[in-house]
Amino acid sequence: MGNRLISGILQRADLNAFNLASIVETRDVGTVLQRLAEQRINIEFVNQTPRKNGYSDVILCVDKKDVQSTHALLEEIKTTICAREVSPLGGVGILSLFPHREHAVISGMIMQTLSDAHIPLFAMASSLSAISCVIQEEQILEALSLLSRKFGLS
Amino acid sequence: MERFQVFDVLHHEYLSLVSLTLAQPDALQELFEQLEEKEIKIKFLVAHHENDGVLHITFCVERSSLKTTHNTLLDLPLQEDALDIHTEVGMVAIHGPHFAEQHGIIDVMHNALSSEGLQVLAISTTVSTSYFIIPASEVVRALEILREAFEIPQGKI
Repeated sequence: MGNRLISGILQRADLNAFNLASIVETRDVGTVLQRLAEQRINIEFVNQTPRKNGYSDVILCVDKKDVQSTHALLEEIKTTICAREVSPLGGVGILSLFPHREHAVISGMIMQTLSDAHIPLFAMASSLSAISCVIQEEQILEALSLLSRKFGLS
Repeated sequence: MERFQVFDVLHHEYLSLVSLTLAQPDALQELFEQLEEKEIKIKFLVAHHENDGVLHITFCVERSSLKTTHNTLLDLPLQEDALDIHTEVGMVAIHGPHFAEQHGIIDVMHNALSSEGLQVLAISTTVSTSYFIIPASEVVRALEILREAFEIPQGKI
């Protein structure tokens, strides 16, 4: 089952992630995006996950060079956007497995592989052709190796 | 004001959104294997872990696959309030050049939709695509809004 479900894995390093917990309104997510855009901070990854209580959690990743300005900005607008918590998640990298062709099994295989190796998966998001995983920077190479083996790429 | 140029705008009107909160995500591989066996495609997926290890996962399937998906989910050892389903959602997405080349492109998309009162249920943005999950009844209006907000090649929306 694991062989050649995907063709390759791209990696992106030198990022920092932030978790904005329990944002209520659509417009509050917009405020975050707008303020970052005004400061010309590029967002490499955004994941908004709805919660049953009507809240949403947002995970975003920016380049390391922008980490201080991003953190300062998020702290500044934390009360405006009514986020319960703004947590820096530290240095992260992103592994993008492609193409997923909307196969359900790929997501489960990724989660199980990382879980078995005790590698925390901060966030995950699908795009047109790839499934991207946000992982602690120090564990990117180990995760890459494990996922490559799992999907028969090495 | 100059508009951002994107390669194309994608949409889907007939999706359902499933959200799960799991303290023990071990059952997920089996869930996705079962969905795969039933040839159910995952049209959209976002997930994140909280500090305490709780996993929040949200995915979309074709609305015609919702009943089968729901029955499969009921086989999981879920807590009573762990499952939430929005039956009628849709998706709009932009696919463009690398977003690092166009700072603020997601802000433009979000602002265009939210300033017209559209509720954004979930977002997935990576290198060059951004997916927004919205109520299904708003997809046609969202496409009109995006047509105004972006420079889109003819036939790519």
